[in-house]
Amino acid sequence: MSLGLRWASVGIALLFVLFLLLFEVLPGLLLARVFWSEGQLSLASWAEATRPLFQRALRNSIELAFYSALQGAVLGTLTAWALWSSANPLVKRFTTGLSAVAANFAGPPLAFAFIVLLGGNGFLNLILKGLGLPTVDIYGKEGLYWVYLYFQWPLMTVLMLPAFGAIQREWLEAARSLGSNQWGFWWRVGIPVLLPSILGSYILLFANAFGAYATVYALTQGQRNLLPLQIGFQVGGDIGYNPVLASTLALMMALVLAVSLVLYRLSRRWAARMEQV
Amino acid sequence: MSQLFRRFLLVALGLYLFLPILASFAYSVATSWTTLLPEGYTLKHWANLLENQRFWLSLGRTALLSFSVVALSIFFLVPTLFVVRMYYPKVAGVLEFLTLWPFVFPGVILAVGLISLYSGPPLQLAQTPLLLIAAVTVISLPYAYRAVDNAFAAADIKTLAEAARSLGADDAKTLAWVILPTVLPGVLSGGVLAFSAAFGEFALTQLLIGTLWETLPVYQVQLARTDGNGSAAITVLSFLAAWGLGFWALSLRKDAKVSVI
Amino acid sequence: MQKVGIRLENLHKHFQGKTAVEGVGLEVAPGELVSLLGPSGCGKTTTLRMIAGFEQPDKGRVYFGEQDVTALPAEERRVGMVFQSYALFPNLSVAGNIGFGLRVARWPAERIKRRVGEMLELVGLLGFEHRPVQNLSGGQRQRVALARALAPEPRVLLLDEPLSALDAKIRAGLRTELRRLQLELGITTLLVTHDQEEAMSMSDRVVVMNQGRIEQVGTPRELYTRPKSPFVATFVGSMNLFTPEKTPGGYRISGHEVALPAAPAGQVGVRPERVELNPHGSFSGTVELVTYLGAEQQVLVRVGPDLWTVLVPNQVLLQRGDLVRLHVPEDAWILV
Repeated sequence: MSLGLRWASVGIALLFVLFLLLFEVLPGLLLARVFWSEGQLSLASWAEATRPLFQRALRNSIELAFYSALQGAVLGTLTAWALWSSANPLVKRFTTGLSAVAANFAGPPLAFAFIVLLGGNGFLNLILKGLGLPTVDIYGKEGLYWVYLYFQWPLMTVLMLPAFGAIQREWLEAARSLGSNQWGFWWRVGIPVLLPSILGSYILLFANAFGAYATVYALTQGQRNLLPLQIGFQVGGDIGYNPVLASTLALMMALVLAVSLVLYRLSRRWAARMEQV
Repeated sequence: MSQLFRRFLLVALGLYLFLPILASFAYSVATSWTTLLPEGYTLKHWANLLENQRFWLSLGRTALLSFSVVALSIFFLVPTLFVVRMYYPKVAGVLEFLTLWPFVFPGVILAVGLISLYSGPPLQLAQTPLLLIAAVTVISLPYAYRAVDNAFAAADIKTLAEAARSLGADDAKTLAWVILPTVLPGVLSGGVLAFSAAFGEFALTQLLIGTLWETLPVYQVQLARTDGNGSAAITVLSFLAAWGLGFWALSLRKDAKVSVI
Repeated sequence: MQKVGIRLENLHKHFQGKTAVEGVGLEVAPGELVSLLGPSGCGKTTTLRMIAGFEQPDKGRVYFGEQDVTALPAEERRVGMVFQSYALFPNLSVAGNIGFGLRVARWPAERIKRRVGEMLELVGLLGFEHRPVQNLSGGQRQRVALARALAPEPRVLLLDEPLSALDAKIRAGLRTELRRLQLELGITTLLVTHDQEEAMSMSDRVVVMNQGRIEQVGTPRELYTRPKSPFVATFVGSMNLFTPEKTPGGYRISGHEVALPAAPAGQVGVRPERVELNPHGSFSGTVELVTYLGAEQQVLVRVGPDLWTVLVPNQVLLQRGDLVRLHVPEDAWILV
């Protein structure tokens, strides 16, 4: 490569690094300034961020993420299994594509679509009422689970497909020739092989729900005690502008996500080892 | 039995993914809908929306934001990944690390950091569209990075460049005739993914700039307070955009593999 | 270990309108090792999979001894199966893999441990029990797969291209070891392979298959010296094949008069090693290519319209363009 091309590219790469430093790394790292007040270490903001109100927000967010990820993980794993064992390549490709697209769809349009479906006069709620069944309160606690499932389910499906792809059909045949039936195979081999991928994908789903802001904001106009919403209030809300508190809460949230990331990377390494044969 | 269960799962997933859009569409063309089926159908809500200047302005800002993000992503990623893959493969780990960053610092957290960093001098960028463009680029980077990096990895540009040179091509020709055409589908796919992510972005927009520079999702939240049917029409448009872009991006890749992180 | 034979009666199998196996019948004696040999797509693997119970025949029956197992699911057939891809379970150690069938059959832990030890000794992997299977070489993996298949004392052993994924050196070693083990255990074994050398060297009898049908069944020597069809003649070893012309006094091959041991019905062939370089030979030709193989050399000779393959001792110095005369003893002609 001529020197011109090479050094022009290096120049742009360095510019890219500068850009990332300014708009990605520094804004994250400088959040830690909240522990630094008038030239010395101070935990005052931490004390405020651990008030019962915010403790509850953290607990609510973790609970929401935990169960939402659990629902998505169970349904998505089963769906990936259904696709894996499906003989029809067309069904497989269509469902995979659909899931990949839907997994990234969130925010106000999704929230309002579910309000149309499950709001006070929502179409499905009318059906449920007509059948004499209990209706779904989309603004209530379980409402968020229904909405989040919209992206969690396909996300888990897409994440688990490669893991199922690593399960060789010969393993099942080997197990059967050794006297084991299908269930025995899944119990002794299939599920243990998939386990690291299931855990890793579950963690991704957890982080996905834990950091989600747009969907729940649009759904409830921010009327829920969840950590992302509380952070949003402190910087852009009507209640007041408190950047120190916002930064501290953001750090709290980043901490949970950082732990998730480490666990995710560990599970990936475990999975790679399991799937390499 | 298990065959039946498999079918049930796939049908259930399909219903779950399509029903909300269908319902939104029906709502956007319904006169009134309080019984099982809409009482009547009308194009009034769509007409109202399409005559509304605020809608067009917000759509225009969303398009501007998305195109800027795509341009910025491609401008940075293609030369960077090119030199890294070609000359400095050891730096690849650092780059990968930087694309993991948004996992730990998603939109809400990044917004807090950016506001506190750029509210005062030397760089007073808070509440400007420029800061928003930079922030959305950072957030959608993992999508674009994956696609472009996969394209470079699959092309094995180092060997390609050596083969081209052994056949007598000079450097500019190698780049123009061999390397760029090979990675182009991947770059395009990454661009489409970044566009899609920027198109639907809400958290950063709302927190960094809010109604000062209203994008489509922010406008939808405002509109929904007064006009549910019009908001449903925007829902339908957003779904169509996201699904169209998503399937386009998928069709640009030879493997149907999808990576998230 | 109870010794049972295998009997296949008129097996048929179609896949989406395509015939995979058509009318295969075969009897394997208890303790015998029989190879199914043929090119890919000839139906040998499908036949094996029907015996294992992974495919259901459209027509025909499979017997183990006197028991009709056609309707029996794979997990109840008690066959030992070894795959080309090893198919070891990646979540289990070496011992875990070998003991898999025993745990499924609910053997007591103590007996499992003893049996796994015996198996490890049998395949020469003592001391490997706690290794993860990912840490093994290809040859070691296939030994573990073999031990796993043999541990629950199967009635028959089915080997599906067991050596094809291995390096040439390891393959040769494992080939003799596999055969030695099979003779020692006396277990009825079917081996699927596309490698004629493997089939010839390991088997009591070889079944040559082509396009879903059995072409010929015989001992390796029979197949080599008395192939019944041009397909067998060329697939098992190499063969110069000709279509002789009838002349008033006898037959003409490559433009030369020859005497044949009997009237040929179709084609006539001769093995390369039976063609002799002889100044008084009746075929005259020109050397086109000499390939040095070490112990001998393979020479391509243009004789009239045909190209002959001849094996020549390596002391004879030949080069391209040399004029040679070839002789074929009368008993070397094979009528197919």
